[in-house]
Amino acid sequence: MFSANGPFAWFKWEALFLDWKVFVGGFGYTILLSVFALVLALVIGIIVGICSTSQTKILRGIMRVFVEFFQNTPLLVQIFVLYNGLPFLGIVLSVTTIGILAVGVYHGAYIAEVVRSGISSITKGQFEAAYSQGFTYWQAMRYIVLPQAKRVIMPPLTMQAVNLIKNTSMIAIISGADIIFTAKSWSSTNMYYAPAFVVAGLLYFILCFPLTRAAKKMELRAQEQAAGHVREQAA
Amino acid sequence: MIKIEGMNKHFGKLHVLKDIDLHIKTGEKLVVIGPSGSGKSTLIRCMNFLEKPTSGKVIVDGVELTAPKAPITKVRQNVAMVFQSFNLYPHKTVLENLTLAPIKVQGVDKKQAEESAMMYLDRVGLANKADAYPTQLSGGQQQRVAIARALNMHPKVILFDEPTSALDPEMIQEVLDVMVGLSHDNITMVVVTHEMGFARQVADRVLFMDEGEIVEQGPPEHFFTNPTNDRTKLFLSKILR
Ligand SMILES: Nc1ncnc2c1ncn2[C@@H]1O[C@H](COP(=O)(O)OP(=O)(O)O)[C@@H](O)[C@H]1O
Ligand SMILES: [Mg+2]
Repeated sequence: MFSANGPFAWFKWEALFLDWKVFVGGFGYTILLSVFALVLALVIGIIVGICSTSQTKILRGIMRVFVEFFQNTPLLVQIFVLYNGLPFLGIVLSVTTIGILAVGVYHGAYIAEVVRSGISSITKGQFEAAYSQGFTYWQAMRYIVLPQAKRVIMPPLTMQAVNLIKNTSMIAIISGADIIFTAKSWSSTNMYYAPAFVVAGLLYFILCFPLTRAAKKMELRAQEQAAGHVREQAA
Repeated sequence: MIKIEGMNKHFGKLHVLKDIDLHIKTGEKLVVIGPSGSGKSTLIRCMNFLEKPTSGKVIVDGVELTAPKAPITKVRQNVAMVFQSFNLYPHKTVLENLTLAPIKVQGVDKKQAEESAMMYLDRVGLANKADAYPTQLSGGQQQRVAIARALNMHPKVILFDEPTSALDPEMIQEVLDVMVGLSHDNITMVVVTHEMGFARQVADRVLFMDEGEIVEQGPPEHFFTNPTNDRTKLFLSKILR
């Protein structure tokens, strides 16, 4: 495999390392896309998640439709629709903007679910105590429910960030200059596919692995906290 | 202080409170007893509008809560509630539990809120737990903190919904002692409880509920000596064993 004419031949690696700047460019683009898409996803996720727990039935219904729509259609389709559909409406967006929008909204729907279930995990008694003290619904959310829900939400939210980073690779389909597109276009000229995609995988790993670890740690800490509470209450 | 007139409450088809008329005077100590499911919780939760009556009037401190656009949150600041399951804020220290609402809702200065909080914590015998978190306290201690939290709103009324029912027997007395202490103040107290010793010591009036109706009411002695209604007698024979 690593022999002179194998897919991982040494000279192919050499060629790749000579062109390292190209890959750094793709890496940077993926980071940029991820950061902006994540900000958008968080904004959407938090707003939709909170509204999904509202007492207003219509509001809950609208949020449900939004979440179900984006969770049950492929991201790829959504990207294509934005890319090919919007120009018909006279809206022409850059590939980067489309990437941020599509990935941000798609993961916003998933994050909304994470936020919703986090809020629902807080007992009704907390709202009631807050109301009985004269807090409004939004004050109760802000000072009492959300700070508690945050502990439950953070681990799955972090895993959503990991998924989001990996899913920015879909932008390669419409020629966004991300890691995958870079690897593909670089290797299509010289056919050195194998090392190019190993490096591409490695670059995603560098971004995602620390986040996955952090999520595991937060989850463990939350579990320990819960167990600690039970111990203390039994004592 | 609290006036309830012709109030009904339905949960779906279930008719939980039936034509309730009830006047509670300022400073009165009212104890509500009755079997499980008779509507006691629902009745006192209507007094701070945690439950919305289906019909009738609820007037608290001169404000009709059942009127459209009533200033509910304003009234609630004067009507504190102590829950069976404490419902302290677990992410806040004991001191913060007492000061959160005074600061954020009533706009009290932080230092002032903390000073009065320490005074009330002292009163319930837990000043040394100010920096602890609720989960580090026993059930009895948590309920005493909940009472101090209620007091730090400087309310005119405190509603207690079975404040000792979730406690281990050895912790009941410490909470009742605090409540007896409170009863010497001019504060209006409405207490759902089956602690008849407490009722005898504190109550101006005891009210017996069954199946959503006020079946019988009177001073505590009346219930110990000559309850008239058969349902009341049956109930008392069960809890006074
Ligand atoms: N949120 C609710 N939804 C439906 N039914 C309820 C609700 N709360 C109470 N009920 C019903 O109303 C009746 C009275 O309940 P409650 O006031 O809690 O009684 P008590 O406090 O005397 O035990 C019970 O039959 C109970 O099942
Ligand atoms: Mg009850």
